[in-house]
Amino acid sequence: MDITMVYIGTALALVLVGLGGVLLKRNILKMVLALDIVETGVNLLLIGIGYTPGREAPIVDKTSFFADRAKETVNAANLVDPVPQALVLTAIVIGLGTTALMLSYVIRLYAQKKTLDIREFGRLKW
Amino acid sequence: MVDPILLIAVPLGIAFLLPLVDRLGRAASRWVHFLTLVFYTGAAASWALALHKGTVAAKDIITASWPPPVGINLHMGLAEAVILSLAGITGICAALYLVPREEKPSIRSIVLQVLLLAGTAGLTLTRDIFNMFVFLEITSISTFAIVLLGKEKKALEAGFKYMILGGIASVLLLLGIAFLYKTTGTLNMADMAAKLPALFTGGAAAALVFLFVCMVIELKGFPLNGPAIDLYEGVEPGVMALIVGTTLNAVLFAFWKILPLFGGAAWEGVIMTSGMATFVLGNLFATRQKKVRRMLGYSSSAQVGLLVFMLPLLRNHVVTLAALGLLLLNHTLAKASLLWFTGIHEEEEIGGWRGAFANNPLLRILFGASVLAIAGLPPFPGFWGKWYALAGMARSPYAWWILPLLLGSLLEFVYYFRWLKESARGVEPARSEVVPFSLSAPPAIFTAIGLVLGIRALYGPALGVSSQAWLWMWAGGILLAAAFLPERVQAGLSFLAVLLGSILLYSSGALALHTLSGFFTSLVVIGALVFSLARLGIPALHRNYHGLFLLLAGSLLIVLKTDSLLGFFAGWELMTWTSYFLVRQGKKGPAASYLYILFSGAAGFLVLGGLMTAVAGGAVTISGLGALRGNTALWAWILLAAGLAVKVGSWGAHIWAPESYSEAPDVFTPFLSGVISKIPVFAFLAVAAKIALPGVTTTLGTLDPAWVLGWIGGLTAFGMTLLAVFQDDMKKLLAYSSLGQVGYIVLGFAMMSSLGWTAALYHSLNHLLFKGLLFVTIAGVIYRTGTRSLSDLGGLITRMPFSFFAVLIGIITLSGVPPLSGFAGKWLLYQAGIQKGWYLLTALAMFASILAFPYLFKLIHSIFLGQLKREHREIREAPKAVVLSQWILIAGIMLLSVAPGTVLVPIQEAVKAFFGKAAFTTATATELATDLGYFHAMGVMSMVVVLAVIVLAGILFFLPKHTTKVKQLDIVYSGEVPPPPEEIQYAQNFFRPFERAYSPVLLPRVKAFWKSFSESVLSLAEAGRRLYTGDGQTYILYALGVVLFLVLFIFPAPASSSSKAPGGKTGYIVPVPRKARPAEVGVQAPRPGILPGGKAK
Repeated sequence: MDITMVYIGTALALVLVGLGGVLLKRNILKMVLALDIVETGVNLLLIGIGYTPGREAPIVDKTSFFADRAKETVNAANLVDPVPQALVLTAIVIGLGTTALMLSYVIRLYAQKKTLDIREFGRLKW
Repeated sequence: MVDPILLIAVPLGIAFLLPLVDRLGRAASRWVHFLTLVFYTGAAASWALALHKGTVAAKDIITASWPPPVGINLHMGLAEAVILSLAGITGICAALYLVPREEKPSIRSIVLQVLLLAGTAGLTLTRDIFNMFVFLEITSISTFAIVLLGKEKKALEAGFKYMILGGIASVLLLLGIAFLYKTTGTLNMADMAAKLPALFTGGAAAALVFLFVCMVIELKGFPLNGPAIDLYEGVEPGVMALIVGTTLNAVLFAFWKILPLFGGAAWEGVIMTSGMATFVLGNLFATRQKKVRRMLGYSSSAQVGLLVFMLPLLRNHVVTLAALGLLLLNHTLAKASLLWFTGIHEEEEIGGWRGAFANNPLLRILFGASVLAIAGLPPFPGFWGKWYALAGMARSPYAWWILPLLLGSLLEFVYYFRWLKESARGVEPARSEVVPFSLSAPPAIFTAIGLVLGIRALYGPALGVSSQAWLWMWAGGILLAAAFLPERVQAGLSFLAVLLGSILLYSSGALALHTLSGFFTSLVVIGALVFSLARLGIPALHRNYHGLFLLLAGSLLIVLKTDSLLGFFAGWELMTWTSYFLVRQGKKGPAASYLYILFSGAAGFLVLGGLMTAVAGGAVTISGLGALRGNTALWAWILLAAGLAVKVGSWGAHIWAPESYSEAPDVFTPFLSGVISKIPVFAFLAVAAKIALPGVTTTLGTLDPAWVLGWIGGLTAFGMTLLAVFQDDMKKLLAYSSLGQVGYIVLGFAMMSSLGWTAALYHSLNHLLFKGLLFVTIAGVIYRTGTRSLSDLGGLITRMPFSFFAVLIGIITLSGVPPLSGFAGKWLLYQAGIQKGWYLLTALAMFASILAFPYLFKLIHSIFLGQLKREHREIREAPKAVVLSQWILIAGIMLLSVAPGTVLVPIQEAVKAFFGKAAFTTATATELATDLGYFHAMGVMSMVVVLAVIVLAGILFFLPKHTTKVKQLDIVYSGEVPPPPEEIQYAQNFFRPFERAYSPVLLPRVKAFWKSFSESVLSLAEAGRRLYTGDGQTYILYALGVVLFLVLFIFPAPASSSSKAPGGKTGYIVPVPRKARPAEVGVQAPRPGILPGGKAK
């Protein structure tokens, strides 16, 4: 089996676990964490998509990037796709921001109602 | 020009610098904030202006010196510039508004507001899909951080639920981007859209579903709009207004940018259905909403749904960018204003809005204007946007979508005008609200922007709004602005304006009776002059009366004069809302006017439907309607006629009219009954008939639609007359009578013959004279006695002899007996009926005419004859101005009685232009002859006068010498206890036996029908809105459900992942532009050409 499929399979499993958590757990703290798991899954998926077995990480050093230093040409064939990795870095940072904000919501909500049950926060409806 | 990238960089940098600046003091950071916003707005607006004028070209900005598709590129075009200008102005206003509303002001709120603008700019400008994701997250993080800072406790749970759902949305977006990147190997939107069709796989199909569901969540689409609507209810309205003006538009535009990815008929159908479902259902659910902010939430969701619905149409070049832009602009301006209002008057429930802003006339006007704007009424930009969008759709294969669109728009009327109804001034003294400048300025600025843009559009040369009409409307506008003047001064100024306007109209030859428009313009001028005169005697109840009246008259002049369909409809809708506000000024006006605007709105949408059918047939002008053929002509005619029939209050749709006529201010009712009810008649003759004459002789099966209309007219004449007999409220009695009289006019029109039309036109003028006379006189009586109830009156002949005489003349004319002018009208109508061969209908009309006698008798007897009541012994004659206007009207009636030909000869000429056949064989001023009869008006009059003199002389001669006049209580009681005086009043239980005899026909079936109809609509809305359970997890379940539904049923993956672009229903079809315009695929995403904003074509 292709190693890429392992990445993608694990990633999808993480997404499903996370979604299950968001839907099934009543505790808003756990919902936030579940959402974080979903995000991790998606990030892994992005990495998996960009990965080509047998190639190296797209980190610029003398051996991989400028294979022939005299000609200064890029030997891209040795590297995996760098774009998804850049995207994942960004997505992780953004995920950090949203998670932090959601956690501060959880803190404020708990301070307000002394409970973490999502069912208690259904005053606004219809 | 400012480099567009600075629109992102400057606010982003400032946001991080602000905490440092704040060390210098809050004033410093406020200044920095303000200057940043000014820079932002100025830069965006200068781009918008330059792009609009065409002095600069749209610009692509390449970042990091890598050309796309490798590097990230930004694009600045007209749409981007407009959205960002709007965001900047919203930012300034929101900053102004939020300052006094923050509980413990912190620098964080300012930082986040600046950050939000940076995010908006990035989201709008970027052409890279991952970059779009980043900016989407930046805006949503800053939005929810602002929400977190707010003082509203409910905001927290709403914000949390939305964040969780938003988290799902961003996961979906990221997944979608990942799959699309895997498929196409690029992140540049245009590059991706160009490569996708050739490389399409199952993964890409799923990716599109993910992207779409993400956009549905972000744009509050049905059924994923629950948390967003909660947000409107819970969050500080100033913040919501900021979001509406910035993020919402940017996200919508982001959807537009990735729209080229969604190719194929299936996606087009899904996007349009989703948008339209959101629009109709959002508006439906809002009708059940008692909480104001939540109602605005539903409305926002609905409006954005409408815009989403139009995106595929924009791509197909069905709808122009200008139309969509106007709708978006209108929504932002009006919705933000309304949100700000809910923050100024902080009542959650709609019931708490009674008398809101009562002692702040400026805010009241602004509030009313915002409601008009959001309801899509002219002159606000939304009206023009809707028209252009609909006109585009009408000419395309998407024409059937107009139907739900109009339905949803009507539902908007239901709840927005209910809000206006509830906010009417109550009986109890209004609370005094001191509104600081920074709270009232933002809605004022936004309303002013909308108004300026709208008025500019109304000045479009193609609309044919005459300078005369503008004169009246500007006079009205100035009077509205000068509403602080004393009532007397205003009434005088208004009368002078009417006089001046009338003289100008006369000298410009606009009053020529032998043209249709001249004839009806004369009606407007007569009505405006006489009733303005009467109003000098009876002060208006409300300070805005005079300004609104002039606006109304101006709008009538537009309707009567223009040849453009758009101009006609603009005037029509202007008439609708100005008259609505005038009706609303009566004592019980708010409830009556609500019914008025609902039916007028429905009539307006029927007329709009008819006009759109005509547009679909290629017509642009009224005179071009004649070219319509076949089914288009037939349906345009039917829809127009239906709308006009509702507007004149035909039987079945009449329930609004008696209420409005009787509850409108007493001085306005004569104009409403005498002039406004004639405008639909004019539209019948001038608009519908243009289609009818060549087209509608084809029949609907074997049914002639004109015959149906004739029966509607006849039944209205009969039914309303019957109902008038049993009214105790004299204004209501005359209101029913008016409806009946207009029924005759409709009947005459439906005959489609020169005689019938001549009768209808003549009766229109006549009805204005006698019904105006009756209503004005009654207004005088009400002014003096303070009651509208007939059974409270009696014997006023001695106190108000002039009024008695006026009513006497009025009822003789109305009854249609010789020698007064009413006779000629009835005489013509019956002849027309006989000539047409509609014998039964003619008989019905004749019977209805006889039925009018009882109520006319009741009217004059109850008020003026019988016994004078004790409390009325000191009553004076009506004010001099009223008596003077009575005499003018009587003089008019007398002229018509003696010499009907002075009017009938020009009318005959006007009608001849349509039928080519004159109504009369010979016609002079006093003598008329038709194929069927002969009438010498002068002769009849002389005969009656001679007879009357003889009879009077006889009475005087034979009268007993000594008579004693008995008073009401001069009765001998033989030991009985006398009944209270009001029970021996003559008018008490007048016609009771008659009523009993007719009781089976009089059951209020029509009212019951409309009541159950509205109840079933409301219960549907009630059931539907239970979908939003308030549980955060339910909403997530809905989101995943939508994803699964789309993946499994609508877009199953292609059979093999390598199959390329199958042409089947489920696969990917390369979009084919409908017009010859080539799809610009390349570095930039396909963008529509720039169309002149807000100009008529």
